Amino acid sequence: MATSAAEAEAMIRSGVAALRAGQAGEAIRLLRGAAGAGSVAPPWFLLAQACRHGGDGQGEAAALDKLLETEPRHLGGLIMRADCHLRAGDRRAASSFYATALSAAAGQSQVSPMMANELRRAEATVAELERDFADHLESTLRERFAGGPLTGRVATAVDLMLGRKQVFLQQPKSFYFPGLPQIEFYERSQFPWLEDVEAAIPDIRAELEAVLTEDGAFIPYVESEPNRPPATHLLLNDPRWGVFHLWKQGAPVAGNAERCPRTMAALERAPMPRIRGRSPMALFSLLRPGAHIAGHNGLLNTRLICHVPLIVPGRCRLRVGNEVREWEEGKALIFDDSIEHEAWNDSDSLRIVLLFEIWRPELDEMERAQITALFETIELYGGGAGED
Amino acid sequence: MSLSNPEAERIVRSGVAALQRGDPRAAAAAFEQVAASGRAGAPVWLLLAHAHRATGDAAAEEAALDALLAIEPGVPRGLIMKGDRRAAAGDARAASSFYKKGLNAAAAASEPLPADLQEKLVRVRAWLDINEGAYREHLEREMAKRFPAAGRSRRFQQSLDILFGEKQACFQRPTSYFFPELPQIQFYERSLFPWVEALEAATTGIKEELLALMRSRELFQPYLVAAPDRPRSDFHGLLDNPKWSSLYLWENGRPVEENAARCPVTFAALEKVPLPRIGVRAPVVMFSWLQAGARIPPHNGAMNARLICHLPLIVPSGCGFRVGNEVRAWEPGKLLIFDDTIEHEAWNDSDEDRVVLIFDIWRPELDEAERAAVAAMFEAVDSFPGTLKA
Repeated sequence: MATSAAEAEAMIRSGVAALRAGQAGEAIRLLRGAAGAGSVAPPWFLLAQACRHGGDGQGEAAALDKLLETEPRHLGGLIMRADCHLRAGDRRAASSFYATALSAAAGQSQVSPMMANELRRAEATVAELERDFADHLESTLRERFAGGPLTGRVATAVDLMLGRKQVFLQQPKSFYFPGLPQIEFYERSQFPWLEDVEAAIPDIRAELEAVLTEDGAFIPYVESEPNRPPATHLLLNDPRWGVFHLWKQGAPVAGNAERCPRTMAALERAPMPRIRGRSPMALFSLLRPGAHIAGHNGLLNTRLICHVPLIVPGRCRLRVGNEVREWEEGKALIFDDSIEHEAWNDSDSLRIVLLFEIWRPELDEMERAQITALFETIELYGGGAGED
Repeated sequence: MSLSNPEAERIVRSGVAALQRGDPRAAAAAFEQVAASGRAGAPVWLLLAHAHRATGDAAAEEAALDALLAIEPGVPRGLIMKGDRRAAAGDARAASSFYKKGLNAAAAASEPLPADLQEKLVRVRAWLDINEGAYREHLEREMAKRFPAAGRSRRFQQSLDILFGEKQACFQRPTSYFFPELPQIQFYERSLFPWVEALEAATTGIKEELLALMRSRELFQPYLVAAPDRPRSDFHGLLDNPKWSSLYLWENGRPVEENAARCPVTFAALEKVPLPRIGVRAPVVMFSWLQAGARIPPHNGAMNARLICHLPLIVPSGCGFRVGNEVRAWEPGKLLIFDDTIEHEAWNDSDEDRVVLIFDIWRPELDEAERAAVAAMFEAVDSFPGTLKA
C-alpha cells in the first residue's frame, strides 16, 4: 500500500516527537517508514540521529551514506559519518570525513553554535588522529631502521608529510633555469676546492682585520644606485649590513682588491663564474649586532652562494628554506640563494663572512658557456628589462 | 640666500604664472631661486623639471628630477619624466626601470589620474612594449651568433622561454607526499633509461593482447570510482564515468592474476622495468582507455618518488598531453616518461578512442637506500589502523 505525502509527513513529525521523548526504537520505525514512502524527501539525517540514540550503528551509517549520496557536503552528516568510522576503528576513514566537514565548513559564512561545537570537536579529533599517526609512523620506522633515525632527504620527506616542514622552491627574481634540484644547503664534501680556500682563512682574516681598522672601508650593503629607482629594502643605506667589495660586476675592485692579495688568491681556487659585467662577485659581508636581514630571494638560480665565516660571535644564524644553520668559524656554508633565506646577528658583536658566488655543480661546461653568453648579451644591451 | 615662507610662496606663484604665459626661462629662474634657498619641496622640484623641459635644458631637468625623487621616490610624473630623460640619453635599461616603477606608482594611486598623465602612461606602455621586443630581438640575434638554437641544451632553451614569458616555471606539487631536493623535470628523455628499447620493441605483442581484451568491454572499469568509505569527491564528472576507464595488470602492489594470464607478453616485457615496490601502493600497471572526445582536466599526482610512463598503443590524431609547460604527442610504440606531480592534463579531441599502457617506475635520482626507506615509510603509513584508501 502506498503512503501518501501527507501520511509520510505525519510519520516524520511523530518520529521527531518519539525521538524527543527518548523512544528511539519507535522513532526509527516511523522515520524508516517515511524514508521508504517515496512520496517525500527521505529524512535520512533524522533517521541517522534516531539510530544513534537507539544504538544501531549500522543503521546510522547506512542512513548517512544515503544522505551523503545526495548531499555530499552535509556538515552534520559528514561529522556523524566520521564518528561511525571512528567507532568502527577506521581512523583513516574517520579522519577523511572530519577533514571534508572542516573544509566544507570553511566555505560557509555562519554555522549554528551547536555546529560550531561539533566542528571544534572534529578539529580536535583530527589533530589527535594526526598525532597518533605521527607516533605510529615514527615508532614503526625506528623498528625498521634500527641503525638510527632516518637521515637526509627521506627524513625531510617525513617531516614534510607530518606538516613539520614546508616545501621551499627556487624563486629567483630575474632568471630561472629549469630542471635543477631544489637543495637548500649543499654538503661540503661535494666541493673539493673548499679545503684550499679554508686553509687560507688565517691570511684572509689578517687582511680583513687590516681593512677593519679603517673607518669607512665598509659601505652599506644595499645602496641606492644612480639612474635606478631607489630600492625599497628595509636595510637601504643602513650601515648595520655592510660590505667591502673585492670582485664586483666581474672585475676586481680597485683600491680594495690590492689590500687583500691573499684573499684574492684564495678565491682563485673556487669555480667562480666569469661573466663580463657581472661575475665574479666576492665581498666581505658585515652584520652588526642585532641586525636582521629579512627573508628574501636572490636574482638567479644558476649559481650558489658560499659563505666563509671569518668573525662569528655566536648567536648568529642563517635560514635557507626550512633549514637554519649557524656559522662556524672556518667552516664554509654553501647554499642556493634563490630559495628564500634570511639572517640574524643576535649577538652583541660583529659578524663577518667572506661571501662569493660559484657555478652550480649541476650545470655542465656547455650550459655554463651558454648562460655566460646570455648574461653578457643582456649586459651589452642598453635597453631591456633592466632587471639587474 | 634665505627666504621667508611668504617670499618663497610669492616666487613660486610668479614661476607658475611665467610657465602659464609661456615663459619657461623666467619660470625656471624663479623655481631655481626657491631651490637655492633650500626651501623647495617635491612640488617645486617637479615644476622646475617642467620648466627646464620647456626650455630644452635636459641636464637641468634631470637634476631637478633626481632631487624630486630623492625626497619622494614614488611620484608617477617624476618617475616617468626621469624615464624620458634616460630614454633620450640612450639608456633604455634605466628608462625601462623608471617607466615600470612609474606605471606601478600610477596604478597604486588612490585618486583618478588627470587626462594628460593617462595619456603619458599610454605612451609609456607602448614604449615598453617596443623596447621589450627590441631587447628580445637583441638577445636572440646575439645568442644565435654564439649558440645557434640547435646547439643549446634543452633546459637552457627552456630558461630562455621562461625569461621571455613564453613559458612558465612549473613545480612538483604532489597531493600527498613530497620527496625533497629533486630536480623539477617535466618529461624525462628515453635515452636515460636502458630498459626502454626492449620494452618498446614489444609494442606489437602488447597491442595484440590489448585488442583481445578490448573485445570484452566489461573488463574495463571507470578509472575513478567512488570509495564507499570516503567522502564523495567528483573530479570534473569523471567519477564512475566510463569515458576514462582502465584495466589493471598490477593493482595494490600485486599482479592481477587473471589479467596476468591474459597478457603474458606484456608481463614479460615489464620484467626488465624498475617498477617501484611500495607495499600496497606500487607497482601500478594498467591499460588506460580514453574515449573519443574525453578530456582529463589538469591535476597533480600523489607522490614524487616515482615517475609515470605511457606506452602509446592506440593513438588517433587529435590527442594531446601536457605536463607543466610542455605538450607532447603520444606516438605509438614510443614511451613518454614524466613527473605526474607536476600539473598535467590529457585530451582526446578525435572521434576515436585512445589507449596507452601506463606504469610507474622509481625516480632515477633515488638511490637504493632511499627507495627502501620510502617503501618502508609507506608500509608504516598503510599499517596505521584504519583501512587504506587505495
